Amino acid sequence: MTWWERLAALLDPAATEPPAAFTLGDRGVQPPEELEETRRRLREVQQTAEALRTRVDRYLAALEQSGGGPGEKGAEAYQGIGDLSPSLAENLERLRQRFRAPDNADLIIREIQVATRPPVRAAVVFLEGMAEKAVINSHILQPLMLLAHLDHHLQGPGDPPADSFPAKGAARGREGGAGRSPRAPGPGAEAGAGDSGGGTDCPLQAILQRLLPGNQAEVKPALDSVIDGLLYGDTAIFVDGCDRAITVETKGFPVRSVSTPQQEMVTRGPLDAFTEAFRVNIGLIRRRIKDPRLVTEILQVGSLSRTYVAILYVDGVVNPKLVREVKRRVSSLKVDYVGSSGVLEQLVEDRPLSLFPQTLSTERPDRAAAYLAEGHVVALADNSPFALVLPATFWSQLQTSEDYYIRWPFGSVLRWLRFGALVTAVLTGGLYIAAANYHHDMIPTELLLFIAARREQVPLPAGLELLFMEVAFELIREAGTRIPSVIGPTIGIVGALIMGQALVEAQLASPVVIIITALSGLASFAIPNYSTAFGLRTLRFAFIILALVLGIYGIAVGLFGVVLHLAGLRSFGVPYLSPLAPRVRHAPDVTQRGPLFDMEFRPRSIRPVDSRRQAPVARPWDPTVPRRLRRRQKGDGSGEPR
Amino acid sequence: MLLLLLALSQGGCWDRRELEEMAFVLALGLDQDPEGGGLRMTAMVAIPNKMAGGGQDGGGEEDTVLVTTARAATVPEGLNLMDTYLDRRISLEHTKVMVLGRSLAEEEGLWPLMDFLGRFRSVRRTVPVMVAETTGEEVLAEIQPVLERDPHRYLEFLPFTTRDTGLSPQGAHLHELLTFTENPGIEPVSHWVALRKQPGGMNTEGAGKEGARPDGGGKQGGGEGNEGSEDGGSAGGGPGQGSPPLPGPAEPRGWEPGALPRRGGPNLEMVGAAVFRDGRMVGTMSGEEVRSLNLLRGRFRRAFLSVPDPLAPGQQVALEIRAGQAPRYRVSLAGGRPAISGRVPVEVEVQGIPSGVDYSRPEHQGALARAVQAELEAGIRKLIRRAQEEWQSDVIGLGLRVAPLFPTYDRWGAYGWDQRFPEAAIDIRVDVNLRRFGMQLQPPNPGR
Repeated sequence: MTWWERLAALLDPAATEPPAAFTLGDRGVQPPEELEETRRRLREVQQTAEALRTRVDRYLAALEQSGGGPGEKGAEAYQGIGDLSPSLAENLERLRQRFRAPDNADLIIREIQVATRPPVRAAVVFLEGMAEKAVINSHILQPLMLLAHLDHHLQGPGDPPADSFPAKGAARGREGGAGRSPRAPGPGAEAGAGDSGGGTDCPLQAILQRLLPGNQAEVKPALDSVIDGLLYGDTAIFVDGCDRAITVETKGFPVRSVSTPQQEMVTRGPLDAFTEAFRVNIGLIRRRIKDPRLVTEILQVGSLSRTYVAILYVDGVVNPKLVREVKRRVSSLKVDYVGSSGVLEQLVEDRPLSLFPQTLSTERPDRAAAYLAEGHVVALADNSPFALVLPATFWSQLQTSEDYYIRWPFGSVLRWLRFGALVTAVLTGGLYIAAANYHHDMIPTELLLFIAARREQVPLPAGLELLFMEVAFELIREAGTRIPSVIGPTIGIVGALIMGQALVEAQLASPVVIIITALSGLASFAIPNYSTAFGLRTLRFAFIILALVLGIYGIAVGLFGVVLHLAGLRSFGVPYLSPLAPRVRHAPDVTQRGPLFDMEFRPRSIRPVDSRRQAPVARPWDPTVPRRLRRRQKGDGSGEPR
Repeated sequence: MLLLLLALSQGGCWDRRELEEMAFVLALGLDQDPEGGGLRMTAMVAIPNKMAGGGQDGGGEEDTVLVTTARAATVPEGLNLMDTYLDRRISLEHTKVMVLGRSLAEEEGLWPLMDFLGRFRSVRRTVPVMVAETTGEEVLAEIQPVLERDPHRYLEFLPFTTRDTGLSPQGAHLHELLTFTENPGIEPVSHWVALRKQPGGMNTEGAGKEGARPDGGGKQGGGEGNEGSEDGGSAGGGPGQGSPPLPGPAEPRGWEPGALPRRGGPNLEMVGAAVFRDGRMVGTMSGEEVRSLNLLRGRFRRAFLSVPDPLAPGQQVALEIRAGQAPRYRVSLAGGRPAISGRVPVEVEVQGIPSGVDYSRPEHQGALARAVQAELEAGIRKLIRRAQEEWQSDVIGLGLRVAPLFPTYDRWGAYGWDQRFPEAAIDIRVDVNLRRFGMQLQPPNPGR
């Protein structure tokens, strides 16, 4: 093939046809692969049904054995009854099928002999990349294979007799797990261990209690729960002759360590940020709220991703209705993949079509903790370094945690500044267009003449010029975010400096327009919340176009529409503009940031069950506190909110 | 949705104009056409390119405005006419001043204009109105500001100086002119300007040579407004060696535009006021009279004043007077003839006592206060006399004080204040409060 033939082949549509040997079936007929998958699904359904039947059978058998009726603990007992087979080979085969092994290289099955007397065949199963291998080696394999034959003379009251090691029904009626993982979907395994009596000579309980030094290990009766554990980095131990398996917590996947915030910078305040590991994130929050009432509930979302979503709240402060609603929305989701809290946010917010985010996402654990203390709910999705605060109001989108860390006058000024930035970001362009195209008498004469002089040399009409510049600005911003960091500075220079300079020198854009673009762009970056800033930037274009078509009238109509929309928006049932619209009593913490001793109540808009945040006199040492207040505090102490 | 769009489009402003398609009139001159019939309209139009300071060439020498004059029957027609030869659409939205020619103001008066200006949306009602001694066209064409590069800025800022001098009426803008003309209780005044007539006397260029420029106003001899010349020259910087004399009265008593005792600077002078009656100009008042007028109207801010030193004859005491509280009037209609007495509180700060008399001492304070009082009351009496006898026009607005005595507007209208005002007995007293003595209490004490 000569070079021009190769070149010509690039332009030849026939060359792009797939070779006859390979096609993904883009020609109408249903490809055999899909049929194959359907068959496999059907087979799996059959297996599931069989497993279910096994469970039901065992349950009934257990009932018969215990003699009594199902009672109130029937459902609970059913949870403890699994579908695992006593045969090790059968269990492993089912596991392989589910994991598509041996095609799937990640499923590691290590078959061993447990060195008890007599030895027992067992298998240690884990997923490559999810489990910590050193832990498996030293804490699972080593005790099972090397240390199990040692006589354990230390005998505790709960231990089975030492000489009857593989005792029959050794652990009857005893608590199985050394520690219950919060992910355990059901109550403990003791009922199943005691009542099912499936394994006739099962040493599982003894292994669990004596041979596994892992700090979280539990007995799993069902294959699905074992798979759940495996997928989360646990190691499963199947023992021949046991119809249950043990999972040991051996999570060891790579995790970024806690580092400084990337988006919500502060100059004063803590410098740790959430990471992708949600357990670490929960720890970061729990470190800040040392109260036993801080509850972490864990749900799973996504049929493929099985993302853990932690719902955190402070019981006794938060409104239980709110918690119920959050849990209802999260657990009802029917999606396959939830990659990050950004996806979760869109799935649970009230009005997904709105320009404004109705949840508050933050990467700062201190901020999440502060909202928890106010009675909000925080949702943490696994693999996402952002927490969602629910519900969120419009005002909270304009606040930062730093507002509270600096003294109140400056905190207030910062907030007002941000309101200014909000107006600037949204309206500057539109106002300029309206004034320059319709309302010439709005601009001071000198400025007007200056603008007119500059505009004379620009070939584009003012509206087009501004839109052009705004789009260019967005391009620079977007390119700056996406650019590989190696050539980032280049884009900065080319985009901002050269282009701006060249535009003005070529007189394609007047300096006024460049100033306005830069000003509104800068102002939009002063909005602390990323997605709110995005919404506002989008609104800016809408206002420019409105001003272009209708002048100030258009801006007024647009503002009316935006305010109408905001007033109608709700976040988890809380009006988006509350506590200002509808107006309820609130601490001076909305548009300004009052002194801390004034913030006596939690936000009324989220209806916390305990609305008082602090005592009426937060600083009792201060002799300038009016005696009247002091006496009241001494008198009734609580100071119920009126 | 369609309804919404229709509703929006009906309310929208469809007269979109790019800035660079507009010609902004910065100052508007209106004169009577000498050939009779119609107006002569002069527009000072901005040339933004030159004005924005950033032309390619140096830019300083070129005119930043163009002045054009057209003759038309009405103002809109004149604007139309201008539109035909100016390529941009002419707009009055940024008009800073309106200059009326004296003949127009005296003969045709404000009525013909008023209807148009009252209806015309784009004219700001806060535009100051000036009456030029000659014509508005001349003022706009010849004006040569020195401090400002742009003549319209000069015209815009000049009326503001009255806040500190009190020599020009406060708030003589279009809206006030229109409403005061319609109100039977008060008559309007307007700014009164004139160009200095010596050609080449004060050019914009050559600021360095200004002091050496010999042709001051030597040939001007007295000027027109010389009724105050008996005091002239006493404090006005005695004729120095070789420097030509500066004619004109040295005290605001006789200051009239076009004849101020000065040399150098811009060629426009604005002092005093044009007095209107029934929308027609009937006379002019001097700077001092305007100051009294501002005091009586309660519009006075502050001004410098020199009064004869009561304890050292021949010397003057320099003072700054400020408005105290608003003037209080007491009106009675008993006996058929309206009697009005008023008290005008004034606060005084001593600025300089050349004679060295220590007026801060309690026994001397009274004398100084009486001198100030006498000075101000004399001015007020003169103003009232001229208003009643010469102009028969209630520029002070005393009618507004009388009107509340009538139960209905009709009764008040029937009273005919126009005819009653000249015969009213008016007695105004000035209450002088010596408040401050400046940075030091006592005069310097030489040699002792």
